[in-house]
Amino acid sequence: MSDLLTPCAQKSFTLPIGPLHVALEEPMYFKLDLDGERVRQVEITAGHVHRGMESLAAKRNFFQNVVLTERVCSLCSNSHPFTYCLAVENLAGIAVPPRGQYLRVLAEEIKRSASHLFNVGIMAHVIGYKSLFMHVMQVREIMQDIKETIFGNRMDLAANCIGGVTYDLDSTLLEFTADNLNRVAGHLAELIDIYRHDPMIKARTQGVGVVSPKDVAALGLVGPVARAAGAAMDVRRDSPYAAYGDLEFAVITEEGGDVHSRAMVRLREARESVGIVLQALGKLPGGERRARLSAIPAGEAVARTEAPRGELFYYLHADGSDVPLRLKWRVPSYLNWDALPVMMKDCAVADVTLIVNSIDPCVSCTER
Amino acid sequence: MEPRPTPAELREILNNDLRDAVSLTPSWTTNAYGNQYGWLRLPRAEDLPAAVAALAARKARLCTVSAYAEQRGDREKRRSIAYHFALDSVLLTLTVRIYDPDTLEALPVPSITPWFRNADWNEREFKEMFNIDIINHPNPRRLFLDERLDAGIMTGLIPFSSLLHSAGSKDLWERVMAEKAGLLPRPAREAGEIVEPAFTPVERTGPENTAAAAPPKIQESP
Repeated sequence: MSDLLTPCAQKSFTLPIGPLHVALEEPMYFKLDLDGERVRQVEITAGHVHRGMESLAAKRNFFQNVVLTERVCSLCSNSHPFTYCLAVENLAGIAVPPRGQYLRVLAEEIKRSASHLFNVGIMAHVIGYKSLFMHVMQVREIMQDIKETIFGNRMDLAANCIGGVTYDLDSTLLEFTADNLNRVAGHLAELIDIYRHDPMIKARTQGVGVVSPKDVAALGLVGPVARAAGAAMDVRRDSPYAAYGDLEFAVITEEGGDVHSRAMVRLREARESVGIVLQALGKLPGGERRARLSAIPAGEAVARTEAPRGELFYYLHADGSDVPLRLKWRVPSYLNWDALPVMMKDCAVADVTLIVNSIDPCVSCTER
Repeated sequence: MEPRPTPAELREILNNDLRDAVSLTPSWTTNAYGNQYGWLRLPRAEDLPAAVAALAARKARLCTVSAYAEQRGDREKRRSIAYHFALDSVLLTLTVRIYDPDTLEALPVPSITPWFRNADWNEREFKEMFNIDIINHPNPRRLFLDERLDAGIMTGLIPFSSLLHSAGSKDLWERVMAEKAGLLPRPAREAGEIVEPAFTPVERTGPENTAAAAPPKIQESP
């Protein structure tokens, strides 16, 4: 039989996706080897938005790097300066005042819930559930309003500084934030029910892009991707920092390890974040927001936090000058990209963008 | 569910494992929140596999790998690599010097991918950024940087003009000098020969300026 007469379902193809593609928010190149409609192998080529930020960090002083690290990525823009400041504080032995610790938690959890809502909204968009996508983005808009009202910005909050925070809340802002978070909590309860039970969402996402607990351990996966496969790991509980040790929250896990489980983890975590912020508002101590600074000594320090996509890790090496000798960071997406070949093994071509979205990838973070 | 080991128990476990593996124990620091950080410098890169194998057997997790130059401005020599591991709540950093202290000659480092699969990207990244040779890496192709760029670019000196792509060759400089020496005609701007191109200003096509040319409105009959 001539090759032209062979049905497509029986042919082998190589399908390039990216680096610029309508289904990708940021540039990444995927080379998919297909048997008909099934993906057999995936090769990822990165580097299209590499900006050499770690090299830039070794040319700026410790204060300037707070601003630089906030610009690594927009969705987890608070986590970067937060973790960087923790690394500097660990090196210099700076203790952040309690009010500063609570305000740091508040900024981080507001960002987390907005980030998670964005991802599950995009998931609805990818599966063609446009009305749900629009609704989730409207709910997220409440979080954006809170950010804009407290910090003056919708994405880069400029909340952190070495030794504490730059912002404060008065009683009016406290009341405004609590009222709006209660609104979001109601919407989240409804969204969790929809995502959990809607037959269209379940049909499209359950059993798709599965990683097993064994894969999680072998690949060193982190964040909602790991927790959706049952791995109860969360830096906020495992190595508490800021005010997390004083606050009650659950480490959210699911068992499926698929696209649906990852979405459920994010939605439930968004609700948990709202609860954390409401607790923090209720317990917000008085006093100073930031510590008095001391000289940054020569030496090494590491710090890690639980960013929206998982563990964010910073390594700082100082030589006694006001510029770091080396500042290195590893974002959660860096580890989770490597899970895609496992998740996409034998999946349908139509599920590729859905699976990519389900790790909530951040190319800007990964490549720096 | 089994109770989680305390940080003190984890410290003891790591101390014993590394003492058995490489006859060294880490030093420990604690931050303001009570989190524990272990630090161990391995004198030779050959000790790395034994230490890493002990951590893998304990089911530690590789967080990341940080290569760096030990002295600012040292673009060629004295590289070290810090391997960061997590064991539940404690972090351990294993640092390996990858140069001969007498000759400062760069030494290769063994890949740790046989024990930690997620070292793949980390090792490819430090290879291209710091030009560090890796022994037995399963997939030693570039990670982020294009093949046309030199390895070791992280510590390379890049002139600002090159960074802005304005001095890719000597062509511009030679042209300027040739013009100054009268070997090339002066640019038209200096010779006063500028001729404006003919174009229609945008405001001329705006609605306020085209009303006169518009057809008259049709009067409705009473």
